[in-house]
Amino acid sequence: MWNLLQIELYKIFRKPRTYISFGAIAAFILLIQLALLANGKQYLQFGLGFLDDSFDIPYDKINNGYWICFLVLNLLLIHVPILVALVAGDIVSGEANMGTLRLLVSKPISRTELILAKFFAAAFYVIVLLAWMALFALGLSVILFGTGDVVVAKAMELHQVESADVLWRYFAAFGFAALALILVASLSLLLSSLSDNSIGPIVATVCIIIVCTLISEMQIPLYDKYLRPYLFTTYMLGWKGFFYIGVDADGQTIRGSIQNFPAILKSIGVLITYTIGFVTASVLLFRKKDILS
Amino acid sequence: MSAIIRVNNLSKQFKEITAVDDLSFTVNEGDIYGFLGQNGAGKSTTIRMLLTLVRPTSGTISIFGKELFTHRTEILKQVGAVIEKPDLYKYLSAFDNLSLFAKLSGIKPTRSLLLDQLKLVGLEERAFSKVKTFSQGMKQRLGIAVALVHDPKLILLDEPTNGLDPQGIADMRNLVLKLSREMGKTILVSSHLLSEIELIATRMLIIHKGKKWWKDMWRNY
Repeated sequence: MWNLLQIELYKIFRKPRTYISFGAIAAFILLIQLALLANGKQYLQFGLGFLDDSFDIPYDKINNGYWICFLVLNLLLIHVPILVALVAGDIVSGEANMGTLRLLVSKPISRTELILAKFFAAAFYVIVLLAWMALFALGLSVILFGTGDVVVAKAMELHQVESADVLWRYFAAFGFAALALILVASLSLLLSSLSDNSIGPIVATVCIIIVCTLISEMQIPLYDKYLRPYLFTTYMLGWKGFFYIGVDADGQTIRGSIQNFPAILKSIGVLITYTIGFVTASVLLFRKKDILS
Repeated sequence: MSAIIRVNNLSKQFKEITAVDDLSFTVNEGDIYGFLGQNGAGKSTTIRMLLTLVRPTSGTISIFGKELFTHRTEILKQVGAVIEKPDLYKYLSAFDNLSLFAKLSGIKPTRSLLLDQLKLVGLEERAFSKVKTFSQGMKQRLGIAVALVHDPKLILLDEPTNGLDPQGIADMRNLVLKLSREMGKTILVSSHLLSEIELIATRMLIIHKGKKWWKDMWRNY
């Protein structure tokens, strides 16, 4: 299995297409950082300006590396599934399309091991992609803008997390994001194992995520009751929960606390359950599949 | 001579189409077994079943005296194959492709083993060129190297001369004969060209529309 995983990783990281995602993420983050270096205050005023009459808002302090990382995650984590689908959607069907799948399956390795190795390789790719994102979004932002408190909005609330209380929340948020994106990889793997061309699974994954995200975000009572609780996309943005800080009876923030930890745990449970379901379905279908490509 | 492949009443149905229909044959140790038939006769489907790529609708296959689907991994360690076009990873070099498939075949390849293998098929000078720069004939030869790298006892070649020029066809023919005579391999080779099969096969089977059409001893060396 370890041998097979090494081979799958080798194939992923030798394929030029893999690096599109790394380039896209770096370019996007650099563009945001450049924009906020030039017009950070105006950008913040656009969002918080309505509070200017009541509060003296220190825009320059809010525009720090920690806050920029939050902004990047908020903007980017909705789109990263597309980049994950580019690699994971191709992982089986790309081999069928290229004609290497028949050679691979005729080797003395079990089909179950092959699919599991491909899943773990895709999961590893997701983790490396997130580490890359963290390097730029967190590391470079801190170097360019320094550190400070993070102010995030949730409906009608503003949460201010102290600078010293932030870093662990990012580790947790990236960990959560990894689970959410591994789920996307498992969905792509399932679709990929059903197809003999790469485009279909990639497009299908993106379409499923767009449609499910729209349903999750529409806030229509009918969907909220019968669909939303069962869609994985409802739980994919749960990483934000790590930045919603708890308060005591006097309304003072509690350092190191999370406002609704059970909701985060529930989201993690749902993401893992879906991932296991998609991987199991991939294995079962692939074991029975006739390789005709 | 012991039987290496024993196929009994093998059938494969794809919805309405019967690709292979009640086929039985035996390949003995040391045979170059010609498997002849028109395009669409069921040769590739049969070979895919011998490699567990396709599951039979009915019938049994035993290789090296063991039931194929029960002892799949054990059996496939001793089988090498070229299945139709030799499609390999185009973004990798010949050396890297060979190394990768050697590992998948369960061996730990050394640099010298891989280079020797590439030399055997005449690709030593292009060992580190990417496969996307190769001609069809070179890909075919690399496919043969991949099939042989783990020193299998049984080699399955599905239309190995497809897309080759006359020199490439002659080279392939000589390689098959060398593998049989000098290295003692058992070979099953499919083709739709009687003129090719008759030059190399020791025994052969002709199939038509999935059924056995003719079988006989062809030649003894």
